[in-house]
Amino acid sequence: MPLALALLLAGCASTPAPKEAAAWQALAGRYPRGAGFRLQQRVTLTVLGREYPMLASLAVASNGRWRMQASSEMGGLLFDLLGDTATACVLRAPQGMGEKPLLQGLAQDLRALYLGGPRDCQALALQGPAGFSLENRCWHYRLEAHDLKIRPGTPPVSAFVIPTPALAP
Amino acid sequence: MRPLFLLTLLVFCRGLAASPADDYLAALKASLGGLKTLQADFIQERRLAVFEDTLTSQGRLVFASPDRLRWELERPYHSVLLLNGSGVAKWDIEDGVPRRAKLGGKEALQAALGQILSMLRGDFASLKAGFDIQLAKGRSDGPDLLTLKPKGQALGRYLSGLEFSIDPARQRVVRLRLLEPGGDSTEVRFSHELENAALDPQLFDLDHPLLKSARP
Repeated sequence: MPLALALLLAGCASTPAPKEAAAWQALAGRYPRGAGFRLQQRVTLTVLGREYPMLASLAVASNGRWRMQASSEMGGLLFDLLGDTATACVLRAPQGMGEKPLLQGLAQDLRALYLGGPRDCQALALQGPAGFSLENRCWHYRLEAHDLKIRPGTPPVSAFVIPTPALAP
Repeated sequence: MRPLFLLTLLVFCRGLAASPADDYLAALKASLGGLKTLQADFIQERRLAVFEDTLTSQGRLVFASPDRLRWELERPYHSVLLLNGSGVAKWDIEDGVPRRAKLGGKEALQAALGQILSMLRGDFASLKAGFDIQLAKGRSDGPDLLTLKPKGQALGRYLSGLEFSIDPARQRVVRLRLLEPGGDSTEVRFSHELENAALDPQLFDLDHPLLKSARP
């Protein structure tokens, strides 16, 4: 009986509340996944109570390939990630930051948000028609994003090309 | 032996002599030294090479010599960055409601805003340690162009160059471009400058800034 109770509780814990499930569903309808799109967002990343404002640019192709770059509000690239529905690589990370939070945290968030990927760690809440917040429970950070510009259609090929300097040792 | 010595001496002296850029920078600094306050509109365009896309924002800059700066974005969202002698702060205004950000990475932000302060004070000479500076005089009434290329690899990883377009008649920066190694760039164009007008000190108050509008 205690085991059954534990299983039941575990099952309940991994099932999003109806409100959150509705949020995921609404978000899926916000971006034209089928045709591919480019998106620019204002993002605030909160880690250990500290806020890091940035601008994020995302390209998503209809075949599931994606590219995400984040820069500071004053200019200057912070992150650069390239991936698809299963794999990802870090082309640029802030100095002193390991790749794991980007590959296991952020890349998974992107798949959950824009490709319908698994959302084991992610809790979503919508903020108006163009915003949302996402809590990553595994990596203990929070993303708050507001759409600034959405361009439906196939992103340019250049979005999915690894820049030459990144290949240098 | 003697000609070689002379040639060496000439090259050495040439290296020590003030370059045209040095004279230009000195004149620019002298002119900007008279700037006590400045208010200007700006348009900022961030060009994203791999996405073939541009993000445009607009706002207003307010400066009070020597060390107070307000960088206010008005579109596509409203936020205010403040720098004064005691630190840096960011306020976000959403639906008219202000909220102070619990900023991380303050040092990097302070450094970025500090570069803008250096520009406004005409303090380009202080950048000579980290950058090679070149001057290209503008044709007819076109702007002069100061190009700064980072000397070290550490900075060069993030920045391939800085360009300042300067109105030669007014000796004021009218445009700046930040160029990145991957082909991205950020361009800021200034307009509607108002110099040496009295400013409310509360515009720069980190804890209780005026947030309605920095416009006169």
